[in-house]
Formats: sequence, structure tokens, C-alpha cells
Amino acid sequence: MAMVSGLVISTARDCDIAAVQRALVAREGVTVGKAEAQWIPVVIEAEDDVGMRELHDWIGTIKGVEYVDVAHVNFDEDQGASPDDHQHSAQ
Amino acid sequence: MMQRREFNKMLALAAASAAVRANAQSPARVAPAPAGDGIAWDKAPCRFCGTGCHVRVGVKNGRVVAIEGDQLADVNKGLLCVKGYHVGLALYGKDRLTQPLLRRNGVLEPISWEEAIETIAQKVMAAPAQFAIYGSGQWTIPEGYAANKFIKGGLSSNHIDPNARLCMASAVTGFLSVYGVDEPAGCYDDLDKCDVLLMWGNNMAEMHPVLFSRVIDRRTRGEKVTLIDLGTRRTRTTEFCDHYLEFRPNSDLAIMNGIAHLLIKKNTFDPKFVEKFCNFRQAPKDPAASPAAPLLGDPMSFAEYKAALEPYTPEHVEKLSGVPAEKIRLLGDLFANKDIRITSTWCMGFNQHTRGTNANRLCHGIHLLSGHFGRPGDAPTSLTGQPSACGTAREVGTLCHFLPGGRLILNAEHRKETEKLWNLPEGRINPKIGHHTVLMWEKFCTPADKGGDIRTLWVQVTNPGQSLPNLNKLFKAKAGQPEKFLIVSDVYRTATTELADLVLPSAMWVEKNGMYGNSERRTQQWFRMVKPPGDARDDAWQMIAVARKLHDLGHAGMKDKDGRFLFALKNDKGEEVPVWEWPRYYDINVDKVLFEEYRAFSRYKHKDLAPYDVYVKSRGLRWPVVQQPDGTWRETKFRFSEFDDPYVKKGAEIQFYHSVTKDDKALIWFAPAERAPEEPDAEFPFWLCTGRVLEHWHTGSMTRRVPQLHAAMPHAYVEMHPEDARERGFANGETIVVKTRRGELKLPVWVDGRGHPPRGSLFIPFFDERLMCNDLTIDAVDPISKEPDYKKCAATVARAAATP
Ligand code: SF4
Repeated sequence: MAMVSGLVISTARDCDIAAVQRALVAREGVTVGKAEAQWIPVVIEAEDDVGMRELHDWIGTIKGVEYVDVAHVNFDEDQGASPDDHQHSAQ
Repeated sequence: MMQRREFNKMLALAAASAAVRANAQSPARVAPAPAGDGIAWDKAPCRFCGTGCHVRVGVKNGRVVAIEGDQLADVNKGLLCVKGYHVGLALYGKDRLTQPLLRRNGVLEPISWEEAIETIAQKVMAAPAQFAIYGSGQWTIPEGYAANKFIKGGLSSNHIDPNARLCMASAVTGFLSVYGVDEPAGCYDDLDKCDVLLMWGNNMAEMHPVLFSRVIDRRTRGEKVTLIDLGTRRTRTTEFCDHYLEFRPNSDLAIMNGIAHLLIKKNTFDPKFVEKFCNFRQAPKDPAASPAAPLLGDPMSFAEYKAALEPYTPEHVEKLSGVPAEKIRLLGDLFANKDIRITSTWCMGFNQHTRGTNANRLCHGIHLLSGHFGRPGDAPTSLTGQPSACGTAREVGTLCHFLPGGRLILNAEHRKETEKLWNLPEGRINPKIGHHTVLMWEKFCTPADKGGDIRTLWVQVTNPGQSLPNLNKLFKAKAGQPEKFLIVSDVYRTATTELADLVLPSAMWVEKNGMYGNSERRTQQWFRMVKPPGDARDDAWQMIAVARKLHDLGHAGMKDKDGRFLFALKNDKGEEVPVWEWPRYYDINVDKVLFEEYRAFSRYKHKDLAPYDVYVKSRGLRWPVVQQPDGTWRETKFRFSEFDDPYVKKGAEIQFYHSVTKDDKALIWFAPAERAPEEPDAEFPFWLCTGRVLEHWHTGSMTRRVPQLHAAMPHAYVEMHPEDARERGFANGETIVVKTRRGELKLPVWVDGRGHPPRGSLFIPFFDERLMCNDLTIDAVDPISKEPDYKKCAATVARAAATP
């Protein structure tokens, strides 16, 4: 199940933005767009929720990254299944 | 041919790049999504919180397949939070309700819509005065308007209240008693202009994340903005703040009195602003003198105001609140500084308290007293939790004491005007206000022979079986009372449908046309983009269909004074369309017709709305929206300020034109610090606070069905200070029992989790239907707003194994 999200990374003013970009480019599943001022657009892709979350969390740990926002999400049709633990679903 | 995944990546990069350009304020702001792949895009506000972000919704083969932030929207400039970008998936939980269900012999069984509508009509017909509607700040504007007209104009009953009573009612009474008219003077632009942002019990990073990101982006751009978090527990917001002032629950009144005390003591208040634009007020000596007495208060002189504040020295406030005296002085100095601009924001941190109205009043008061008002960035601004708490609950007036457009049930003139606009015979509208939320549910759960005067209750677009306080008393007590009939319109089964006698499947969000009004007075519109599943139908249709059935059964109230049906809606050619017949409902745009009718109400309180078609072309407009000589429609960002508000007299500078005192002045209130309705003691030694989390929206009935959000936050927990846990030998993650005088709950303890309560405090989120913290909360209400206190009661904890 392919998952793709477009993120906006805000970096600290005094950080080495090129170093942040290098770290991003080196990671599988991350595509880096053209940065403007302190912001870098990226696309992350993973096979499932867990992979997406790992990538998202990893970006937050890169030195100089202040905030990660989401601009776009795309979901395939087979993703609509909801969790099964709804107390009131089955009655 | 481009592979699907590559195409999706291109879409995602285009959206992210556009948002980056918007942040960097590059002129190339709009990046239309690449064409192709058969996806049709349209705009809609997000379904979830009151921030009111706009999304672009991608639809393919009758299904929502992509969501992105709308770069054309001023609110969010292309960004969304984790909930917003999963909003499309909220439609596709596998257990959507798809047909009406009637409880027979304890089991919900499928029935036809005809039978469902007939059943409701018969229940209403049998005892119209004992019928009530419980609605929501998630009702669209036309839905709320239809329900309001149906019950107040048709049934001559005011037993209607929205769940906004549980979240925004204290903000309403705060605004009304200070300015004489509801809703903030400023808007989100204040967040872009302020030098200091004070967040009063407001975890903006999690509850209004896109707004918070807007502020953080200013720092990234190199602007200086000082963030101050005033709260009772450390949250994600605290991590970004320059100052964190942790106060004892219920003591924010003391802090605000401390600020006012310093402004007066040091003569650093703004005497010119106060002289020109303010009067002083205090609680009335006889609050029962008239229904309006608590809102109007008693006049007090400046000298009396000064004397009342005398005890609130920084040292005394430190004693009451736990906030060090030097931090109170820091706040006093900030408000004393005219060269900076200060914005205060709050949400449930003020509102959900037994003194919520007073907290709102005092916050407005320190802004007025110091003159930090009326310039961009200088504003006291409440935020809402629901997407249309403002648009539907407050402006349409679906509260039990309101009529549309800020009119009041108790005002004979207002009733007359409403009857005229609805073309009703004089006297049709009942002059007695209806039951507010807590009273409505108490009456519903009380047997008729013991004074329970609500027999049939229709819930739309909300989940009171989980969100009401003290659930055992206000909801679960309905069980085993066969004479009580509960109707629930919803999209999924919930804790509320658990006790429902009739369940109606509803269309949600972009499965229907809609309009919302967000926290900053912005009215938003969207069109239906996909069909609802199975036989789910629009909430407004359900209401109109019941009204028509009552009409056909001979209920006189369903006709206007000329004998026409209350919802006799016409097409462009002036021909009546039987919209109560489902196949004909979308023959016309019912939303447009109802909104145009409602718009006539909006001028009285200068909440002017533009024609429907103007909203179709915009990403929302902030009222008053006033037509210009060239025919265009102009929104208003800053009310009461001459430079922006067209209703302020030339030369007035600031004019509170709905002033309570009728002299264009606002009211600065004094209110003393008070004790909480229930405080920790030897038996229940902890404070218990409840609230929300980033990943889930309110009771989680939608977001818990989104796999990504569910995985990110799978269950509720109780946050506890590490020392408290260590003392009791609780391991992180261990299941413990939290108990109050109203109930008990077993759930895992989370130490050093996302939030950090101080010693002696607990926090439980309310999103989890399996672990309902409202079994524990207290049903004490603010005496003025009638809003319950979800933020504090006394609790105790024990090892799960130690209790039977
Ligand atoms: S901040 Fe609120 S309105 Fe905006 S995307 Fe998130 S939930 Fe939706």
C-alpha cells in the first residue's frame, strides 16, 4: 500500500540549511524540493503507516529542523478500512 | 505513461512547494495541482476544528482520494495538521451507518425512511412541548437554521441547544457582557502582528496547530514574538514558549486581577482609552432580579474598581495561584508597555469552568484597561473547538435563549421581528427560554412523574453519550425508561447510539452542501462532491421531512400565517419544489435558499453576511461583509476600529456600537478569585483535568476510524507526575483506577508522556469511547453561561488490582 505525503520543513534561522538538505537527500523515501528562505518542501513515501510515521519523526530529529507541517496527503482506495476496536460497532 | 505513485509524488511536491512559497511570501503563491489522472478538485473547509482551514478535495470515481492544504486560503496558506490531511478518510470507516434503525426488543433493526420519519412525527405530535433537539457546532449553518426554525417557529418551543453549550457558552456570555455583542473583535491576523502572544490555558500547538505553526513561522522568518504559556500542565505548546507560568487550577482570575492591580497601582493603565471607551461593572447584588441581571451587572466607579483590586498584590496572587510574584510583575509590565502589541488567546481553558464567564470578562478587562485593544496584534481573541460553533450555534442562534442574528427569546421586540421574517402569526414564538444542555439531559434522564419533562430527544451531529459531563447522571440514566425516546442522526455508531431508540444515517461533510463559520467570524461554503453511502441522507433533509410529515398530520405550527409550509422552498423560476421528498432534495440548492432567508437576520447586530454566491467564489469572508459602491463585497478584519470597521462613526477611533450601556463604551468587569466547585481533599487528593489530543477530534468517532490517526494515538491514558507515580509504585503504562465521587475508570498511567501535569494533578483525554473520562467529571455549571466544568474536579488513584 503506497503512501505519499507532501511536507513543509521549517528550519531554524541560524541553521545550516544545506546540511539539513543533505541529510534529507541521503534518506531513502524522501524527495527534496526547492527550498525558499528557511523552508524546504519534501515528499515522503512509505509502504505503510509505520514507515510514514518513522520518516516523519526522523525528520523532526534532524539538527536545525524546527517544525514539520503537512501540505498534502494522498491515499489509495484500499486504505479506508477502519480499526476494529469500536465498542459500539458490532451491536 | 507516468506511474500512479510518481503522479502522487508530483502532486505532493507541488502542494508542499506552494506552501513553502506562501511561507516565504514569494509572489508565486498558487500552484495548481498537476492536471491528469482523472482527479477533480474542489474547495471545502476542514471538517474538524474551529480553526477553519481550507482543504482542496480530490475526487475520483465518486470517492475522495486526495486532500491538500488550500494555498488560496488565508487561514492556513496551504498547510494542514495531521487531522486535516486525513479528513477525507473520515468518510470511509467500514462501519458507516447506511440505513435507519429502530430499536425493537432491545435490538436496532433496519427500517425504511418513511417509517423513521413517521415514527418521529408521531412522537412529536403526541407531546410537542416535551420534544427537544440537541444539536451541534458541527451542524452546517443551513442545518442549524432549519432546526431552529422548525422548533422555535414551528413547534413554539425553545427546547433546542447545541453542544457548543459545552465549549463556547462562557465566551458568548463574556463577549455579550463586555461589548454587548458576541464574537471576537479581532481575527487571526492578530497572530501575525502581535509582539507578545499570551495563551491562557490554550494548548494551541495541539488544538489549533495550524494557527500555532503560523506564529512559529514568524520566528523562522526572523521576527521577534514572545510566547507565554499560562496553564495548569506543561504541554507541547510549552516547549515553544519563552515563559511558562503554571498556576493552581481556578486561579487565573487572581492572575488577571493581579495584572489589573499593577496597572492601576503603577498608574500604567491607559486613562484616555478607559475614559473614552469604558465603564466599570461588577456582579449584581441581586442576580435573580431579572434574567438579564447577571449579564448586565451593577455599575461601579473607578474608585470602587480600584479598591476591589487592592488585595491582589503580586505576593497575594502568588499565594493564590502559585505563580511567582516576579512573573506577575512581568505580565503587569508587558501590559503597561504601549509600544508592544499583545494578543491573548483562549479556548476551553477559560470556558469550561464554573467561573468561565468571569475569566472571559477579566481577560477582556486587562486588554481594555491597558489600551491593548483595537490595533492589529492587540486583541483578546477566543478560539473555538468546532468548525461552526460560531457560524451555527452562535450566529444562527441555536442556543435555547437565542433567535437568529443575536436576537433574544426574552425580548418581545426580537420575537416580533423574527415572526415577521418567518412570516409567522404574532405570538407564535414562545417567550420562555428552553432547557440548556445540562438541564435538557437531566430532564430527559428523569422519569416524567419526577419532573422529567423531556420525553423525546433528537440528537444531530454530536455524541453526548461520551461528551456530556457526569455521564452516569446525565446520559446513562436514560436506560430502562421506556417512555423516553432517543433519536440519533449520525454517521457511525457511537456511545450515544448505544441508548438510541431510533438511529438515522447521515451524510457528512462533502457528501452534502454546507456552510461553516469559523473562530474569526469567517463564513465558508462548499458543494457536495461525493454521494453518501447506502441510504444516508442530509441532516437538514431529515428535519424538513419531519416538519412536512407534521404538516400533513395537521400540526398548525408547520404553516406560516398565510397557510404555507414553513419550508416551502422555491427554485429560480419561483416554483415550489417538494424538497421533503428525498429524490427532489437536490433539485434546488437548499443550502442557498435557506442561507438567503437567514441572511436577512444578520444585519441587526451588524453581522452582515454576503449573498451565497459570493461565498462560492471565496475561501470564506469575515463578517460584517458590506457591499461597496462598485458592487463588490468587503469583509471586516477588525471590528469596532475606525480604520477597518465600516460601522464605526468617522472620527470615533473606537466605537462599541452595541454597548450594553448604550454609550458606545465597553465594560471592564471586576470579579473576585473564587474556589472551585470541588477541590482535592484527603479522600480525593488529586485535581483531575480532561481535554483533547492532537490526533483525535473530540470524541474520536471520526478520527478513531482513520487508521493513521488511530495508530498514532490508540487509546486514552491518565497523565501523572513521575513523583506521584513513584510514591504509589505505579510503573509507566500500568493500568490504574482513577476514581471520583461520580464514577471510576481503569486506564494506563502515562508518566513523562506528551503532557506533564504538576504534582497532585491528573489529565485524561476524552477521545476514547472505551475509556470515557466523563464518567468521572462533575456536572457543576457556570451560573451565567450554564457551561459545565470539565477542567477540574477531585479524584483519587489506586492500583487496578487493589480494587474489586
Ligand atoms: S487545524 Fe483544525 S481546521 Fe486546520 S487542518 Fe487541523 S483540524 Fe482541520
